[in-house]
Amino acid sequence: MNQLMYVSKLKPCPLWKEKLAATCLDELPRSGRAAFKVHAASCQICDAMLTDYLAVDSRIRQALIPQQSLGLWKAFLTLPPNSNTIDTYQANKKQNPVNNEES
Amino acid sequence: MVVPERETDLLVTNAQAGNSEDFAMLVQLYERKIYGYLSGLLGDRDEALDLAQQVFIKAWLKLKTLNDVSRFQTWLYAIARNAVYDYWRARKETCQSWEHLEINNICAELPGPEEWTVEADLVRLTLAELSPKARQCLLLRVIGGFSHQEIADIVGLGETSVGTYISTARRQFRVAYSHLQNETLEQESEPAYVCIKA
Repeated sequence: MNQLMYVSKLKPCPLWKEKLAATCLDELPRSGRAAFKVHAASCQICDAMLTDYLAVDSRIRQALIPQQSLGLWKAFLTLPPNSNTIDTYQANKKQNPVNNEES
Repeated sequence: MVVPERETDLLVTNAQAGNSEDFAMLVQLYERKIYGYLSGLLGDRDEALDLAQQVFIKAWLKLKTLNDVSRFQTWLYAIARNAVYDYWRARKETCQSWEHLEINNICAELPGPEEWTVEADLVRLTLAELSPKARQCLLLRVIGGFSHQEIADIVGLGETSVGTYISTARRQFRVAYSHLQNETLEQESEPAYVCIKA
C-alpha cells in the first residue's frame, strides 16, 4: 500500500516510460528485457516503477478475483446431454426450473 | 485450478458435442476470472454475478459456433465484453460515476472479511475513474492474462492502441488509487463522517 503512494511521485526515464506501463516487460522480446535489466541496475526510479506497476496488477487481481468458487458451474451438471441449443435449453428450464437456476 | 491447454481444448470439444459435465468443468475453470473481469468493468458485484451467469449460459448455447477450440478463452471474454456493452446500453450509461459506486457498494453489506471488501471496493472505485476502453484493456491484460494482440481481437482495436490504453490505464490507476486511498484514510480519521455512513 505504501509502495504505491511512494512511487506515484516518481517519473521514469522517457525511453522506458511507455514500455514499462504498457507491458511490465511481459511482451518485450528477450533483448528488451535484458536491456531493461542493464538500465535498472543504474536507475532506481525505473526499477521502482516496474515494481509499482506489478503491484497495481497484483492489487487488481487480488481485489477482483474471488478465492472461492462461485458455484455457477453446478447448474450445468444438471443439464441433460445435448441440451446446448436454445430450444432444448429452454424446454429443460421449463421442465426443471429449480435445478437450472441453482448456482 | 490449473489445467493444461490441451485438456482445456478437449473439454471444449466434448462440450461442443453436448457434454454438459465437461462444460461445467470449463465454467469452474473460468468463472472466478470472468466474474472478476465483469466486476471490474461494472463496479458492482451483484450485477457482475448475474452477468457472469448469463455469459456462461450464452457460451453453452453458442458453443457449437466456435470454430477454433483453442480460442475458447478469447471467445468467452468477448461474450463477457458484449454482455457488459448490452448492459450499459440497456441502462444508457457508458461509465458509472464515483457517487453511484459509493452508495451501492461501499455502504452495502458485503460478505467476506472487512479488510478485503474495503480494498476491493477501493480498487473498483479506482477502475471507475478510468475510461471504459482503458479499463477493459487493463482488465483483459491483468485478469485474463491476454497478449496485446489477443486484447486487440477481443475489443476490436489496433495492437498499438491497446498498448497505449494499458499504459494510460496503469498510470492513471496508480494516481487515482493513491488519491482515493488518502481520502479513505482521512475519512476514517473523521468520526462525524463515520457516523453518517453508519
